[in-house]
Amino acid sequence: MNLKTFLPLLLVLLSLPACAQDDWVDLPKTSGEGLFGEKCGMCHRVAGMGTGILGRRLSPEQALLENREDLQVPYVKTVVRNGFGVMFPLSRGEVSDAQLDAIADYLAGEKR
Amino acid sequence: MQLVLPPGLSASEFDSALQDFRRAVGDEWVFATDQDRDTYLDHFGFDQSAHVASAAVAPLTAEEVRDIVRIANRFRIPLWPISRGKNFGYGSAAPVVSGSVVLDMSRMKKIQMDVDNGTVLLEPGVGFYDLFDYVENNDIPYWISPIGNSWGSVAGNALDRGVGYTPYGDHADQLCGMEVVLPDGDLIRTGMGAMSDSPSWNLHPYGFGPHWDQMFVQSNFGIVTKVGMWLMPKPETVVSLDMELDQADDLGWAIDTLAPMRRSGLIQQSPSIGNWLRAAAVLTNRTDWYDGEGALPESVIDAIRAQFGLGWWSINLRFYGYEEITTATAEKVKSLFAARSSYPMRQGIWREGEPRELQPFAGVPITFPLQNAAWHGGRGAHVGFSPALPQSGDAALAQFHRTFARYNEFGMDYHGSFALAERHITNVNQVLFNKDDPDMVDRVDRFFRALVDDANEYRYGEYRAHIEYMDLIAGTYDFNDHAMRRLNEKVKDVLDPNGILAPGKSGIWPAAFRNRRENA
Repeated sequence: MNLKTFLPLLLVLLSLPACAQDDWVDLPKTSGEGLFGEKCGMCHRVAGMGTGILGRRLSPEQALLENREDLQVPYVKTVVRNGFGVMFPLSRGEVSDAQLDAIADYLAGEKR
Repeated sequence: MQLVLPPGLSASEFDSALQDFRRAVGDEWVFATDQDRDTYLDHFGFDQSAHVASAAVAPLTAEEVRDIVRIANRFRIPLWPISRGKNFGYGSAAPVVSGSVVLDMSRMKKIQMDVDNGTVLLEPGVGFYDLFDYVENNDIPYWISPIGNSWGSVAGNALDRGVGYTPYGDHADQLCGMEVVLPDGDLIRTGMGAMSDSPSWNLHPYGFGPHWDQMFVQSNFGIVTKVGMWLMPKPETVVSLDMELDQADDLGWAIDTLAPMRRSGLIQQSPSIGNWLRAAAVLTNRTDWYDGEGALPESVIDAIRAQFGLGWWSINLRFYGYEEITTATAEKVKSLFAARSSYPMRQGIWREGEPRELQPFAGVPITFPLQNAAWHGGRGAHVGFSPALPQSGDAALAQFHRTFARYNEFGMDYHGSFALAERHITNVNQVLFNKDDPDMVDRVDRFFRALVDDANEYRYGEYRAHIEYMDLIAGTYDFNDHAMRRLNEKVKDVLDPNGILAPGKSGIWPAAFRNRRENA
């Protein structure tokens, strides 16, 4: 795949830094933030499908879920279990109900 | 999704089986609500109702897997094992046979790294991101080999012969030693693992006697609960050469130029030659370019190429290792290309300690390429047809022209690439579609079957298949009236007499389900 060619453009579109390595920290995965990184980060952090698609549909500032201030617990849980557009739903095998509670609380609360 | 019972089971027998599964793994890890079943559908497929699980059970250990297998044998329930269920484009988590119980190994996420030898022992639930985080956070001097859409399981990808972009990109080839639960519940370790506590399990692939590892790749002969894999030592440098080819027919000479370099080892990763749609479909929607019916016209193709500065095809090469060697390699490759073409090559170098490109070439997992699923708007989906061809420019060019004509005939946008392995080409044809458009879905099915027929005429077989087309593809492997199928099914019936393990996977049907084969 021809990633290098259009990667800079993607990053400009999303107004994101050109390197993400420094953002990835090893957190205890029992926390909402740690679980978000493990279960959701692949789509909803830098270079993720969800970030790219949301960036196109909403504003670049709203592309990263961890920047959002309008997310509510029931909304997060509904989208995770039912999917949304291209997003596929996540099973309870992949994200347990208790883990989803922690992730939803994290996204709906004060982040970072 | 409403309950579809396992074939031949009554509702009360199914309830009894679920009770036994709960006793084996705990109440919390058996999933059987309508919403649970929805989460195991093929969300990037086009006929989700054709492949529906009745329930899922999520073990934490190989011993629990063995218990589940014993219960499945008692009730004659087909199991559909998944590692992380992210085999998008090939069926995701969904079973071939509706009513199967998904054996979901997402929770099995143990990693054991042998830093001295550069090997890792993985459970099926370990994803590319998990392994990347583990290696990077612990400053381990090796790189992983991620795939283009890196949600999935490292072990699961290798077991389906997935490929990556580094010199370790033939993932099935990096496997060294497995632990497998057989369909009767027995537990084996392959290679040197057959010797208890051998320190060489993940170092010497063969052990003594027959080497069974490949038997569990793309098969339904066992449930792999651990794999040993080799990782690539972290390179000192990565040198890049990128090139745009202006004309569609440049594909032929480009392949003939690259192939000897691949055979000689001058190029050690598998270069992929891909067309202009790859960037456009990831970064934009189709309606940004065109509202009309049918495949994109040439004027739109030109506009896309101009916008992104792309050729008809793009080539991306990477060289890994010590700087003296990678830079000298790049010079040799440039001189060999200069004998065939005047197209410029962009050269770059990454040195240890610098930020890495966010892409699988650099051992970094990503998922944004699947933004292309949103190309048509609505709930996007995709399926791929990827035959293996001889490494010949003429063969590749003829295959391209046949396939491109089919895309146009069925009104689909061409999304193709040609990846050079050591001695063959894999021609990946990705088909992006909107699964909420019934006309398009109908066309995609007919289109896919036409592609299979075309390739089959030249005896090009697909290397991997979506659950909907496993019988179709297996049927093209027809030497001596399908002798390979007969062998596979003899083995299947001996190892799995009750036919409980993934019936229909890779076109291999146990006796109990054989009448379900497409066109049986």
